[in-house]
Amino acid sequence: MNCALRRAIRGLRAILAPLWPELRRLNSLAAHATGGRRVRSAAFRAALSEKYRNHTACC
Amino acid sequence: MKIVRIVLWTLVAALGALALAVLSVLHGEQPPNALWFITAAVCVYAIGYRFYASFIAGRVLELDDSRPTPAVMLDNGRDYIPTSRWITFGHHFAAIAGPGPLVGPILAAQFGYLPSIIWIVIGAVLGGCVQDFVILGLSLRRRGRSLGQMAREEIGPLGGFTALVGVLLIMIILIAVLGLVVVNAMKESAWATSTVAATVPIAMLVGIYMTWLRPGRVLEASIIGVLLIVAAVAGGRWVDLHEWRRLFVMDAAHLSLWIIGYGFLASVLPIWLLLAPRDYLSAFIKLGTIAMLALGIVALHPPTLMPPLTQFVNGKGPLLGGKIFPFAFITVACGAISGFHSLIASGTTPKMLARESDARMIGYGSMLMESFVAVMALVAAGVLQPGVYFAINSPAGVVGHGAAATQTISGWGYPVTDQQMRELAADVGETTLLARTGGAPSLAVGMAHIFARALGGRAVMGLWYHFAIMFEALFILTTLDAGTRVGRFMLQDLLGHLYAPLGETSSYPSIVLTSFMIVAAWGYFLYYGAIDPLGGINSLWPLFGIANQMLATIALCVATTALLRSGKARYAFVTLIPLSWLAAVTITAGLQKVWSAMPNVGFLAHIEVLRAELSNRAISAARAAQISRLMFNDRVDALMTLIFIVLVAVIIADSARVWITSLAGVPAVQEAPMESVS
Repeated sequence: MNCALRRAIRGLRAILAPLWPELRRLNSLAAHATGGRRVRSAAFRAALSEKYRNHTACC
Repeated sequence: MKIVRIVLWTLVAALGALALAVLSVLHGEQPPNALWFITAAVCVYAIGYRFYASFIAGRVLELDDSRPTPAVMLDNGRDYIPTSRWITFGHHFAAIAGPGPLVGPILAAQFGYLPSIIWIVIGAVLGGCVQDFVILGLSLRRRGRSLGQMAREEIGPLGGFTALVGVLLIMIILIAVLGLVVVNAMKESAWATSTVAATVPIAMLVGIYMTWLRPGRVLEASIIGVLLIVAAVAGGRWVDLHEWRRLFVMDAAHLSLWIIGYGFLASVLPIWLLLAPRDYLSAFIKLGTIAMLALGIVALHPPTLMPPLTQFVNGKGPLLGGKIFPFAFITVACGAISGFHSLIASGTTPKMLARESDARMIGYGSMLMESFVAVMALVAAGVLQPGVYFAINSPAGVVGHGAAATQTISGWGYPVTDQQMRELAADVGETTLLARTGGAPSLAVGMAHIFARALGGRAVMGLWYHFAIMFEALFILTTLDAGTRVGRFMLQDLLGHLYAPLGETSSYPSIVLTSFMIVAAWGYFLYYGAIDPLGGINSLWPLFGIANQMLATIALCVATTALLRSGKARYAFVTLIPLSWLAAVTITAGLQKVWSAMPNVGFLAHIEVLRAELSNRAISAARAAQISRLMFNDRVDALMTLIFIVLVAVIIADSARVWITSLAGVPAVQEAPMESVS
């Protein structure tokens, strides 16, 4: 592979690296709560209601 | 290296000046290419971000990365969470970018493109971005306090109360006018209505998936939802050809009742079932479509056809009455400055910033992005032939129906034929595009032009048109359901002072009652807008523009007061300049909306015209009843406008009292003291 391209990909990965943990956190909001689906569902709904407590509609 | 930087920034400034000159005077006989809009915007934004935002960060707000932010100080893993600046940027942009910057420039294009492009670009750099950035900076130093709390602390209880009432009223007008935009986009269209209707069960399915089937898997559910929504756009065509078509073809009045019912359901249903999944889906489609539109405009760089100024600077515009000042500035709305952003900048965002210096990119930078969205919407209106633009956006009450409408518009000097409008409607899979007021259909036609030229050609215009309608409707319904819910909370907060059980947010009777009250409030304006022969937008959009900029006036009053009270009087011009301009615009527009002698502008003058018609004994009983309703509606609109004027006057007078005290005495700093974090 072209050396410059490889460097560019490495650079891009370095830029994106801090985003992955955030995305993983987003995709697993309360998913790691233990105690089965019902408990995870309750934990997720609690997390959502916290997140949307002061959620404002914008124009 | 310094000399290279100086040369580079001089070139950027010169290119921006050249682009603005081309747009205003140097374009010759033909209107300019869309790339000049993009060039002017990007150059002015770059100068504003590099120099003005840097000045505000360094001198005015004195941002300091050694000071821990509220997210770091109060980290609780829920609302206070130190977050990557790119994620926070995405969150903040998705939260502030609503339908306003898309619809406002489309409606303001009736004055020509020039007033809009100048106000969008200059207004954002000197006004909108400054408001968002300064409020975010102030909230950061006040443990993430909200605008209402800061108004109470900086100005006093009267300021806090004015902010609360202002937000509630603006919410009602905002939801009504956006509901009207979506109603006008979907009326008599089975394809558009069925596609938008399908997004409701899709959002519920996504909600059930991420709450019960695979709890917490937000991204997975969102991807499934986006794919289903794209399928719903294509499926709408099938419905249009099927016998189900008759279920979805509705007039504006019936559609508005469905929208009112939807708003009520969204407010009383659990958040995980409808609001949260719709919000996630909307965010993905929003960001993706805006990126596609930007790429399409840059890649195709279409010529614009709209003139820089139209004859309607005289105040007799068919979309909205009123002269260029103040109404062009009111109409553009959120693309230049939006008071609503101050609620986000003092809401969730200050609780997420990990470093103070990130506030520049997130506060100032996100608003630059929103302003850029407005520029793209303006370009999408500009690529249409002016005759087509006016035919889509002019209400039948002004230009007439069918061939009469196209003849009237051609008589203004913007040629368009009935045949041309029929062909365009057939291309996009609609029965008619005449009198589709509200801006959304003409934006969708403009976007479909751009997308179809890049992908698929004329054969897929209908698909792109309905994709654009669905995209706008998703934006609007997200604002509508979240707004209704926030409005319900605010009402519960207010009513809880009168009777405690009404303030309980977990009590179902209280939820249902207050939801009904909020929905009835915006539903009233929506329904009467839907049956108004002048299209409703004519009276509601300026009211929304006035209300939104009134909220910006409140935010800038809070910011100016905070700067003066912290001993930064010499930098108060940063917020005082946009504040003075907005006060002039909102008060002038408000007074004209009530007392202008032109019936297409002044509510009272319109009442007189209706009264004259009512005194004519030849009119039918049905028309007489309609006139009575319209007269009552005009009175309500006039009263709302007067309330807005009084609120602006009260907040400015109360702030001025505090400014005089601060300038005369010892400044009282409200910032939280610097704390170390273990």
